[in-house]
Amino acid sequence: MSSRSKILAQVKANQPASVALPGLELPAHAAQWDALQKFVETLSGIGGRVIRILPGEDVTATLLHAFDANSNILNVSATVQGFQALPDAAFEEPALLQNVDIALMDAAFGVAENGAVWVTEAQYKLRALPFICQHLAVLLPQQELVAHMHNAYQKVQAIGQYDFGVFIAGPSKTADIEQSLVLGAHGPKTMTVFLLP
Amino acid sequence: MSVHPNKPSQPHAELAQQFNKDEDRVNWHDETLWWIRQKRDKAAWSVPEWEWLRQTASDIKAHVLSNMHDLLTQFEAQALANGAIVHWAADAAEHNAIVHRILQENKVQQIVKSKSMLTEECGLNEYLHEHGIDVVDTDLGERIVQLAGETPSHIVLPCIHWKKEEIGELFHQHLHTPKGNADPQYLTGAARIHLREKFLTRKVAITGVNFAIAETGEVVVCTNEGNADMGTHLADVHIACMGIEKLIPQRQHLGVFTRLLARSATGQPITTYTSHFRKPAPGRQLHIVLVDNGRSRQLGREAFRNSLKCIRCGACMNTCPVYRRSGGHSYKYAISGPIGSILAPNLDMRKHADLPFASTLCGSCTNVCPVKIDIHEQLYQWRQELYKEGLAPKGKAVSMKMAGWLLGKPALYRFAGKAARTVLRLAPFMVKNSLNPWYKQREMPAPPKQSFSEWYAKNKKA
Amino acid sequence: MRVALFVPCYVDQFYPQVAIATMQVLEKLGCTVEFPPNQTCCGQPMANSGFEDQQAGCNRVIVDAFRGYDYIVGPSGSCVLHIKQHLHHEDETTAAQIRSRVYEFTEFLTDVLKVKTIDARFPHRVGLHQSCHGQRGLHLSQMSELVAEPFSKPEQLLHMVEGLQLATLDRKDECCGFGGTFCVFEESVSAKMGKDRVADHERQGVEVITGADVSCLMHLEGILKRQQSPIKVMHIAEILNGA
Repeated sequence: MSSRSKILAQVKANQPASVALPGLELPAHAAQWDALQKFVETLSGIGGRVIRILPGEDVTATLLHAFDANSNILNVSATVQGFQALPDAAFEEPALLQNVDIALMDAAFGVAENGAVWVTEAQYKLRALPFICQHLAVLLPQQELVAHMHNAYQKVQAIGQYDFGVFIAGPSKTADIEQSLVLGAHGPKTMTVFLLP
Repeated sequence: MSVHPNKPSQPHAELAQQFNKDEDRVNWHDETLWWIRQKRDKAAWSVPEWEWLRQTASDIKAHVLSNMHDLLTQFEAQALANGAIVHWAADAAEHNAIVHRILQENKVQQIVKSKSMLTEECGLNEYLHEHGIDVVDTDLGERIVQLAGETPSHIVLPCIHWKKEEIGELFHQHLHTPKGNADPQYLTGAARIHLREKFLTRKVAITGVNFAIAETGEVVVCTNEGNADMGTHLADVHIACMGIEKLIPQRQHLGVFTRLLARSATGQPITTYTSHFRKPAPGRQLHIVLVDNGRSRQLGREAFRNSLKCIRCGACMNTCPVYRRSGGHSYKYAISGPIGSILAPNLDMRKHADLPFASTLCGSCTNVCPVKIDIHEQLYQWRQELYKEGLAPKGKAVSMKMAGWLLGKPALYRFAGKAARTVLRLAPFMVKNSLNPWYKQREMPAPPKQSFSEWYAKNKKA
Repeated sequence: MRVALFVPCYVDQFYPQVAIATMQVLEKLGCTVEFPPNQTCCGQPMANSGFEDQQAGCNRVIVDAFRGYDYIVGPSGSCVLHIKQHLHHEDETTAAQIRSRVYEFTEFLTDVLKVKTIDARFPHRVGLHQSCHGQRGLHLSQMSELVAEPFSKPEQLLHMVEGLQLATLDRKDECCGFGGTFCVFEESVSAKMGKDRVADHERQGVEVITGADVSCLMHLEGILKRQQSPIKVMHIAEILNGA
């Protein structure tokens, strides 16, 4: 008997009578927020930076202004043009991206309650990119904000299937040494979300 | 320097006593974890529907446990359709052998691993080490304890028992940082450089799994450091190891669990990264190892079944007044604290017979648990179980039988009570000595001349 | 209203003044209080150590002693909770009746007698120790872990006492470490927990530590006495009884 059959047989023998799934409708006393305000407040609170772009403002100029002039910017966003493109060789050898200072990408939407943004591999092309870069820059239309994770997964479903997708909430961080918070553990040291009008 | 992995023969009480020899350190350990408990409280109070979330999560998990067979096969079918390779391991040994075989097939001897309590439970690191494989744990806390030759003392905060000066010294020895530098920012920076080199060069990455979705066949991994993603996306092969209880039915249920997990664990609104791995990247491999290792047996133990709802947040450890004052290593099991004390006896009742007694049954663990596991009630039930199996300490069995017999006889009890008070009054040295554990740090109650029964008989009885 | 006084074994033997105060407060509030003489213990020491079956003798004694009363009231939340959860007997009807009629002293005052005022004066700074079984088991107070409306039955009563100043603790519901046989089998952690509780009360400058569970108070008292602390320990019934 294979382990698979053995495990499944024992699970079947030992599992109790079926219990129905609960509903997921939020109770009336659930939290309600002003999504924009909550998003900005939360992301700032967890070490992220939020820059709001005003109607008519030049996105590229604001971007350049937000970062060190000497940094190299790799752009996989469809919203702005220019900067460096993703080198083909990186698909074979993602480690080549180790010297990328700033990766610039579009996010599908953001979540007010926790400051996270949802990005998928299909959007940003190469899985490793938002992790290996030194700094992460994300473009997010400010109307694309949901209140909480329940809405977030409804939105994920509506957007469609992905191979790899990730919620990113702020720069990579650790507090493993005596609970002292340090930003920039293994991934980006900073995360900037540019909120588009 | 911190204690090393403890000899399994010593009971929790003895190891806890050793931990308590340095009272300042106990205070520091207690206060650090209490601070995290407070952060958890604050995060929970930011969500008015918190208790609804807990109940819903618990109910979803109840559905999972009662439909595990079908959900497992559904998950497997979906994962296979996604292009993942699915393995089944009945126990720890088979799990370790499967991982080793994948490494051999890929001719790899150096790997990175992000945090996975399952692999700790299975002793994967030791196993692979014996087979000549170099495993680098990439979670900072886990790397610290690994460099020190220890195991994690906490499932979320692996080196919570280490002081920064000690980490500075450890890094000085292993990573050649300047002696005396104990700045967390600096030390983290040094670890970043040290581990980046590993991420960039190692071709196989192991991760744990926080949630596996039956509906889609995807696995979800949560980290703050980004180490699971750095490992997997830069490697050719991703091996995701999971206990079979990690299943959830549908993707929408993540809405409930992702709201609870990080808030319960550290008081964050969500982990920095919540990564959803559905398909392997083009040209790369995704292996999913489904591990039983006693879980299907626990599923059949009605009183203990709910322990399988655990999402490994560690909140019960942070709130446990015993854990905070005895340290994770005193539990001698990969998962320490209250939840470990109800999981471990399922694997080896004799070896872990002391753990259900390492609790005052205060119940705080049950109240913080995001999936509402009745932890303290299961601790009580394990005590009954251990007694039935003849695994209760001998002396305790005799004294409890005598107490039960005496207390069933009111007249005899009144006589004995009077005798005890008389002894305390006339011959206090009989109890006020070093053989009485109560007396070591506490005075005995002053024995009154009259019990209440005696007083009542004299003053009240008509 | 016929109320039976439930006096747990160690209260009977070591803290008769607590049982006396409990009885007197109940009588002042108009109850007819009787003390069935043949009572011993709730059986918790055996059951919590894993020897549930060894409490059969205790169960027999309890059922015989408390059969037929309207209410059974005890000054110890932990023992009351144990009866509520674990009392079983061949006469299961009576056992069930007792389980539903047994009350911890403060909850009996707030929930059954619905006491609104108390004629007591206690001009001192007091710290309240929430015992875990009373709080998390009997829900005498809201638990700090839950996102739920705060309330506290013992505090509600203490606020009725003239001159009493109630301190706010840094950790308002942490366990004292008594834990039954835990206090001897895990001596070092138990004592450390007790010392830490005492230190919290000391930081708040309390003169008296009170509570609704004698076992926790006995533990804290043992530590205070060893430290030769001026802080006194009193059961809440003793404070409510003081005019």
